[in-house]
Amino acid sequence: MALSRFDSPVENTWCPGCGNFGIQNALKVALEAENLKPHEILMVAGIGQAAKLPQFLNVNAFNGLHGRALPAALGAQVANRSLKIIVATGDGDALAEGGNHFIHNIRRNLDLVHLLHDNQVYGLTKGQASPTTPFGQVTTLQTSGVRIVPINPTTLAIASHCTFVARSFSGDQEHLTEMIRLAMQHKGYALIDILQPCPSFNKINTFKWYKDHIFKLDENYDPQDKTKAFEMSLKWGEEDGIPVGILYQDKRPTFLDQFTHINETPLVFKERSPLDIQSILNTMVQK
Amino acid sequence: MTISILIGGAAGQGINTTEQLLLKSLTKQGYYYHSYKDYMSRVRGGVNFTQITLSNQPIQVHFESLDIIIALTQDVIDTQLSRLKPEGLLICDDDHDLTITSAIKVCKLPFKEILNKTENPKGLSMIALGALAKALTLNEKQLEEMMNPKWPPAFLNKNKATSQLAFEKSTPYIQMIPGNTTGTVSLSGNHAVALGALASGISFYAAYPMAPSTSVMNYVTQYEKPLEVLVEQVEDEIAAVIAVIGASATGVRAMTSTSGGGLCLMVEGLGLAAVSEVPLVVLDVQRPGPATGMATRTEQSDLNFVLNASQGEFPRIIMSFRNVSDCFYQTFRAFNLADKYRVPVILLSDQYLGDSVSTIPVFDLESLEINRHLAKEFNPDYRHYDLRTPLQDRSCPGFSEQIIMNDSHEHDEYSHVTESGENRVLMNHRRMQKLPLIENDLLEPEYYGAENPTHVFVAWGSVVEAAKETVRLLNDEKSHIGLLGFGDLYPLPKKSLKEWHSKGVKFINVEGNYQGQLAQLIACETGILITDSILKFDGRQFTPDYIITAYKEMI
Repeated sequence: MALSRFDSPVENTWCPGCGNFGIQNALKVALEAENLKPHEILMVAGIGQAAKLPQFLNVNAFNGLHGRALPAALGAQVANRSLKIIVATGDGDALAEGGNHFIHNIRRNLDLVHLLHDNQVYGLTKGQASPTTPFGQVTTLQTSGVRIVPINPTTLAIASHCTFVARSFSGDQEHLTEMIRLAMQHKGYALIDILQPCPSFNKINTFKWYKDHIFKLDENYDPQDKTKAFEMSLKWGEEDGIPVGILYQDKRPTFLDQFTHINETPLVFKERSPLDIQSILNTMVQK
Repeated sequence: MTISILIGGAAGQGINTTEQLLLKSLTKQGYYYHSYKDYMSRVRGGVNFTQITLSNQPIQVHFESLDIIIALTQDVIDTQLSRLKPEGLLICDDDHDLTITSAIKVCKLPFKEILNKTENPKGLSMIALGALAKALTLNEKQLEEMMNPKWPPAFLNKNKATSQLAFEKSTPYIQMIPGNTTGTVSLSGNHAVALGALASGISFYAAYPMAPSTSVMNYVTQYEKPLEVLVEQVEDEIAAVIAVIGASATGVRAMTSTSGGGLCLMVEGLGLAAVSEVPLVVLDVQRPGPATGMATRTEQSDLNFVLNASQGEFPRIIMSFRNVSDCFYQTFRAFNLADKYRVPVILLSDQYLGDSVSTIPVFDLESLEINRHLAKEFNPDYRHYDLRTPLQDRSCPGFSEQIIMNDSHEHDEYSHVTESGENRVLMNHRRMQKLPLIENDLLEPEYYGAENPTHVFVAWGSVVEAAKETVRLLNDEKSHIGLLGFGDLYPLPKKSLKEWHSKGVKFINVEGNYQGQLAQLIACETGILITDSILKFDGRQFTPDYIITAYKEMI
């Protein structure tokens, strides 16, 4: 890829062939296309191979703890609503350790783009099942197969009233870039479940497997019909195929929109003084 | 002079109403007021009471022995009557069973008859108010002024009638010459914390409800609109602490409060704030643990926990509040220290202090200065973790074209992840050398008492006020006792301890926990061994009477 202002000097540590490269490239193209500058963006990540993404980009970043990207994004958005927030998590980060925050911040409708790197396996800890690993799939740890059923992040998101739910594939740069751009243009919580191969630890859901199973939602599909979206989100596997595109989109006031006493000027730029509470004290003091 | 009053009943009977109306009126008349709530973790029933200490000068303690008991239920008599002074007054229902053997005075009122006559079946709190006004030798006009003019007229008239009838049927008991309360405010510890945080300029408050810290969130919310503050009840305490760190990393001041159980969940946030050097202020309103413990009771047993909470080594500041004024000023100071040193600051309060209301001098806002230590301009030489100096102004995402990264990994000066051993040593040194620097900003414990003491009490947090009153009372009886009352706890201020130790005084630690946790810290940090302890861990606060008895048994 050509040199970009989003390139970082930091040495990349992902495995060759990792789906994360496709996500990184599509993100850079989308950021350029949306005419964003590095200092206008805040990437918030947890921990995992996916969460290394901000380290390999030249943008502001908060690289916190496993599972905790979303609460940090909540705080950052309250502090400075002018920053474009992009959250990068893996499937374990978002759905296992961070499952509670995933549900509740979707409910909040934070105004952000959530890139859910979904390779259906744990990479950084070397091959254990993730919450999206299919039932029965053999892993480095679950050698007799996974014994619990997987979470479908798009179905969960729609059920939690997410206002933008899309799926894409790291192997389709054009589609993924388009989805990221549309997510950035969406006002509210924009989730993209990004299918990606893990060449080191997932020998089943390979690049070819995804390519063979995905199909693009056609023009006649109405992403505003929640019931249909729910049904569509449930499609997965050999018979149904895997739909990619915008599964569901809705308009709802964002988290900050609900606080009518919070101004458009970011709170971080508000000048504050101890004397701000003088009038409150005056109502309490014994005359 | 002090008067101790207990108003007791079941949850839902309106004890709080009686107390609030009384507080407003009495402080206006020049009485200093301290009230402590003893309530059970339930919405209805049980034995709940509010204990009030009245004085004509500042007072922030309650006593074991009582001058007046108002019992709205039989349970209150059964559990509290033994605390009444020999010449004390009991106000109760004429239906209540009593076996009085001592010389106490009893004022039996026909509760049912008063309520029926005034058609006010839920008016028990008004009976208490009327009877108490009479017992304190207030006049009818003063009682009438206690009524809330904002009540609907029918409700107001009923309450007026009930309180007046109770007033007429009661007897005067005691009179106190008021002092001067001009320029005071009457606040709970949790209310003062909220005001301190707001004075320090917080923009964001995130928490998950947990007794006894919940009211801090309620108070901040009360003022969120005029001050343009955002309060969010988040999904758990992990979210609370991480959201506050995310906000702080992005440049605003933010706060969270909880109790020990919630702090357990927040522990990972302490290390995150420390390694990413994001200022963090967390309040722990302590209650007895472990686990759920006793939700509405008090204890000072989280000190050892917060000293070591979270993996790895990092600098932190631990401060405790000794009284309601501390709740305000030390919360304010915590934010300046957190910004200056970019470290977690843990504030220790407790149920007793958090819920107690005291009359204190109004806060001097002019004396306060917010120091943010922020680098708002672009600087080509900016390093987020500058190895040339441990203290630096901090930049945040969105301030300028500066690209800022905060990271939980070990990192280099520019926040790039690195496993270099050399860098690790330098970064660790950068962080840890803040500890001796923080010592320059520490407040030594307050010394109170005799010039040449035989014994010096060592206490921290809310127990300091009870210990202080103990010292005053004992020294009035010609004892020679002193008190070192700790607010700042870690890094431990050592100067005063070492000075008194070198004079050969005998220390006695007075703590609301089983292990004597401050004494342990002192031994660890100074080598001074305190072998005599007065410890209390029944979930109830120390009273001066309790400490005096324990002290006399000891010597």
